[in-house]
Amino acid sequence: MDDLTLMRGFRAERVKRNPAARDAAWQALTARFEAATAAAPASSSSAPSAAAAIPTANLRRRLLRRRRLFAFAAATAIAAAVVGVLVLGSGPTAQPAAAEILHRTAAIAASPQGPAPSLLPGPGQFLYKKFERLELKGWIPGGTSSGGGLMRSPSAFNALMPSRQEWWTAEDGAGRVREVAGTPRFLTEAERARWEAAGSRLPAPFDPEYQRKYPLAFGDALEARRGVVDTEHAKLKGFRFPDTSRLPIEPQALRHAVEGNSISVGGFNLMYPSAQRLDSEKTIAELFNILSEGAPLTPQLRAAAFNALAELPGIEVDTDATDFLGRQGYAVRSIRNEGGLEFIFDPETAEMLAQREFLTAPGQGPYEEGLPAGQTIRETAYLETGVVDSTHDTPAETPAPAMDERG
Amino acid sequence: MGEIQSDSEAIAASLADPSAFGVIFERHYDAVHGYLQRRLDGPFADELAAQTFLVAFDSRSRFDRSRSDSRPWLFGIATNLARNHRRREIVELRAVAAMTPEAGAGDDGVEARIDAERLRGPLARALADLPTEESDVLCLLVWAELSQAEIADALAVPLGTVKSRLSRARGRLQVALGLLAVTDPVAAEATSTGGK
Repeated sequence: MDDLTLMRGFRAERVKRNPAARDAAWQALTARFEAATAAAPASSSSAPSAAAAIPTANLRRRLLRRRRLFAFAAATAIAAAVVGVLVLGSGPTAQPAAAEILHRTAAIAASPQGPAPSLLPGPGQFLYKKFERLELKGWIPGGTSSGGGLMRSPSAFNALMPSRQEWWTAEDGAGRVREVAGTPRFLTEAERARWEAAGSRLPAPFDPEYQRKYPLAFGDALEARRGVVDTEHAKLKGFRFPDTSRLPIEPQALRHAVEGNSISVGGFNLMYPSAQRLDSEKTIAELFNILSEGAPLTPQLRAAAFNALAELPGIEVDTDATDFLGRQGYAVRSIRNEGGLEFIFDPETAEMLAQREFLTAPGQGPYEEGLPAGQTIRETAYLETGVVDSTHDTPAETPAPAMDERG
Repeated sequence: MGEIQSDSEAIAASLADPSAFGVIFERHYDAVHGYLQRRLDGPFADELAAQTFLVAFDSRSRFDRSRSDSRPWLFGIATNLARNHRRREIVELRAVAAMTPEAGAGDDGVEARIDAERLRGPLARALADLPTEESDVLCLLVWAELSQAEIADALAVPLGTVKSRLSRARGRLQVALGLLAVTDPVAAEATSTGGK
């Protein structure tokens, strides 16, 4: 019996239909319907009925359909304009085509000047990853925090929260995570002043009160204090790395494997576990995953991923991108339904510098309302990756084995 | 409302005709109520289930209508409301833990360790001790039966955040329940000290 099975049975006896509670909830809701109907300027004075709803819904659907058609036409026109600049080029000073840039980057990735391959750890070894993260967070001091969105509570503070993270992970999932908080970057000066006046408390897990509240999580930490959390953890049942060793390294074959959601590589196809086929948007996201998480990530696989991206629709390349640490590079960008995703890479070395998620339109959802288009939701800047021999080593202290030593 | 097929269409229709939102209540009240019953004592679960649909109705204009299924949205609202009662949830879980015997105490065999009744107390204690974010992810996975992608939707966090929170929560539960297979001295040490 595993933990999830135990949890499924826990308190199952409490789940009972309660007609009285249901009726009370329904009455409260219908009262709200009536209030909303009375408040609506165009509403009739009579109570709404199911019969009246049908023509209203039909009319609304027709209007929505027209609006969608218009939006589609407008989006197509805008996309055509963008593609005209970034993909086709326009004149002697135009940027090279996106596809050309990606093919060129693929060639660099496959060359001896390309980045060193990343490897999977063997027995007794750990995959070391060091990165800096900037994430939009809302938090209530000493309490909960959100990741990737605003928190609307009056007692919450909202900011872009930087942190430096180091992860050591063994092949069975055991390892160590060290996180060090930076200084919150508030979206307004007023918010900063409010935070300072309230004691400048950091979000979870960096707040000492939060750390004391959860002794199971932090009681045995190597270090847990304001701004620093450093914990070791035991092996995780069922853990496995997103092993990319069986992926095809021919670009078309790689693309087809990803599109068919047929890559049985933990950590990638788990993103869309039930999909029979991935659309181009999801295929791009999976190829980004391979470039950021793949291990072993050989020069051939890295090159295949860049070449496959070059042939996908909807890809843009920005040749004037900068990550939040100030490193300049090119950004390969995918505009998705729910926002934008971009990878920033060094065009000279094909090294991945950062990954960023951002808003492509002014925020409208409850966790994004009021934020401008382009707002960073989360950015990860990669600093160092390698295989080490203990949770207290870093790659600089551990010579990297050659690829053939690892098979 | 016979033509309305998806939750998304019902919510869109309710902008013009509020009564169209009744479909959402009919379809999902029992599931939301059951989820909250797992987390909180009866009267609180009843109250929060009603509130969930009132909050959903009031914020229906902000529902992302590219999502056909409103369950992640509704469970997200329910989870946010339950969060305000986290202290009560913890007190209840600790009360359960206090009434049931410890697991893993002494030299019990494997069969005794996997006995669900014996693990009820440690499970309750472990759930009480989980950070709220991790507890939310676990409850949505098991009790609301949302997929990881739907949980990401419900909590408005990226899928990677859900995965990492779930991984940590399960690691902690497994250590607390003594279910973690321990074969090496490093893991044994971590397990014996409660793990992290």
